[in-house]
Amino acid sequence: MMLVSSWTTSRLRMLEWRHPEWWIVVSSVAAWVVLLTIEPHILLARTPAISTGSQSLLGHMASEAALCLAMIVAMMLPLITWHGRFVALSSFWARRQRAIVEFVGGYIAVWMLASLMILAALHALYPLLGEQGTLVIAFGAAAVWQLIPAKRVALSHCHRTASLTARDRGTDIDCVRFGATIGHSCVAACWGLMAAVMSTHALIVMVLLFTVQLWERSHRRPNLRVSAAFITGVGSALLLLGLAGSEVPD
Amino acid sequence: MFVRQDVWRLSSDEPWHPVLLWYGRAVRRMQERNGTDFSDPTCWQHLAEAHGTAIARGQWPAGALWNECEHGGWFFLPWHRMYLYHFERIARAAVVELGGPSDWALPYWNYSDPSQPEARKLPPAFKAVATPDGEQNPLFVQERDPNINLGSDMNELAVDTSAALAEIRFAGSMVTPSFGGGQSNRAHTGGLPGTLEVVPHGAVHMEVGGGSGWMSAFDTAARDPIFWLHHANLDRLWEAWLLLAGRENPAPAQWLDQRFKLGSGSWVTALTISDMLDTQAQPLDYRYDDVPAELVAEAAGGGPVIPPRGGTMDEQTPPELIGASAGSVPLGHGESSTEIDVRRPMGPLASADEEELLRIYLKLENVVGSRLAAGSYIVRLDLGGGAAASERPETRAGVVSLFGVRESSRADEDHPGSGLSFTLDVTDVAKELMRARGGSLDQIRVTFSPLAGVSPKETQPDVQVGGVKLFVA
Repeated sequence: MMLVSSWTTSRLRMLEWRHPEWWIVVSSVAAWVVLLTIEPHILLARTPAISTGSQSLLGHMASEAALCLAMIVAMMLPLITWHGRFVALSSFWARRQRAIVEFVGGYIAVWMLASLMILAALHALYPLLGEQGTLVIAFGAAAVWQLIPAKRVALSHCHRTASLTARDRGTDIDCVRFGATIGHSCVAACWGLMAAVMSTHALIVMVLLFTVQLWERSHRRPNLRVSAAFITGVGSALLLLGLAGSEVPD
Repeated sequence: MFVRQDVWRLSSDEPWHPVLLWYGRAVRRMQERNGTDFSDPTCWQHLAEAHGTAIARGQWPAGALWNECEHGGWFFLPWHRMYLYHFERIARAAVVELGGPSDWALPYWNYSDPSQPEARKLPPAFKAVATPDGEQNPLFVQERDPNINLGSDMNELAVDTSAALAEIRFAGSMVTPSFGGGQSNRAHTGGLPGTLEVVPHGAVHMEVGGGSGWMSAFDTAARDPIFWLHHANLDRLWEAWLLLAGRENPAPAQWLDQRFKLGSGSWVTALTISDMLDTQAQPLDYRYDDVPAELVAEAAGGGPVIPPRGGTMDEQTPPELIGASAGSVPLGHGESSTEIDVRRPMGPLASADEEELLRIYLKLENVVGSRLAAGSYIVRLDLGGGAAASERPETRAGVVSLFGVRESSRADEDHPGSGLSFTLDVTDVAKELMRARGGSLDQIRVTFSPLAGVSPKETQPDVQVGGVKLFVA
């Protein structure tokens, strides 16, 4: 038993050394699992995310915020594993994990703010346009944004680095600020994709648009007309298959 | 098979050797094709803009693949190999079209050749204003450091290949130095350059280009005909490095399967890196007439002439930060410095045997700016203010070049705006300082001094190093 424990400790220490950013990936996987297990019905159909249903407004907003957080952790954190590693390796040993937490905190805070604004916009559109109209606007905005030069600039900025203070009290602020900076670039690049996902909350859409994000980040100069066409295709398929607007069975 | 020859050996026999004469004619022919919009994929300017361009994307000719150069990472060498191959095919076709030899090949500029006293000067055919037949010389460009065009030597530190050839690994990481550059996705700039990419590559660019010449910027470098001979030499040094014991190209499919594409219309070159590793096989089909004699001796079994460095530690066991500067450091006309408090490693490396295992790296992060006081800087380490003068053996740790700093500081769709970063292996220097202090190192001072001023001089340089960090691995 002690041998196993020692082996495990040694392995964990090695993991911590080699991949201090490991928990960013683990958190994302956990968020995907949570989304799938807590709300399995959202695989193909939208949840009543926009209409308040029988919940109190406060309760509804809280559950929406929790869902936003899960979506951000699932879809966005994998995009910053490189940055998490960068932040860890730029910090003294004893501060590595703290630095990643601060960086991720700054990043998520910006994304949460943006997500809540997107959600508010969808809430405003929903009574006017209905579910299908809202979906058309969200997917349309996501596809058009792909074609605008500002998207390319934002995508390029997602790859930036910073010289983080390592040895005085500015360290914590630097890590949070760097997280917020990358978060800002990431929101500027991907707000449209997030809006499209939030207009349906369908897990399959999350997966498809997540692959678009990964593809964009792994290419130096991705052909964003291709991704715009893909997003348009996904939105059109949702409308044609009638997934948008279908009620979720209880 | 095509043979690339040493330009100085050709020039010492005959300043206008036929290889150079035909190169000049081919350059002129390609320049005549420029037109107004550079849309001909075989014209000089089209080929130059493929490396880097300041022309707005909306004004590019249809199908142009411009601004494609790879710097700051492990694609630097293979991308430039393909770029040379693409250019050489077009230049050779121009030579043949003009009645020249069908086996013409691009020469290389071996500025590090100790047996050639003139090697650090620009070859004569590139300095002459006129060709032997009295025409304007297409190999001469005004947009260089004036001293280089007047026949000055480049600084010997700018052409020193020893640090690059000593690297044991091709690919590095976020911190670890390497021969070929840090592992990364494709990126115009922003990653960690290999040691060869900094010196001699970047340093020679800056020595030739000076403050505002073509060679000193990504966007204009390939307009200068000497660019191609400089990069042929770097390509040759890659071949030479592979002859040394323990050196090999990366094996990951992410590198081998990376595909690059250049040109348009009937002149397209699209190859994966694995297509280009054997230069003597198709499609490349070329070799160099010479590799450095000491490397040949080592490859023949004479033992390591250039001791490898870098150890076995790599990205799998990443370096640990043990010291950092308090802030940024300006790089101006004179010396500038910063002090680093050094801590003992606290992670698994705390128990490592210092003498045998530890490598010490100095990382210069986020060097940004647009107005340069010098093209390259010498980096020195000493024991800092706390040490008595008698125990301060100031020691040179390396040279960093500012080639590309302007473009990489620009935040646009091709550049994240993070500037340049460098890592120097300072193990030997740091251990010498440690010995001077009786085995411990609690503070070091890092000093930057200009390798040479650039010309014309900037009165208010704005380049600064974002931070200086010390790592152990």
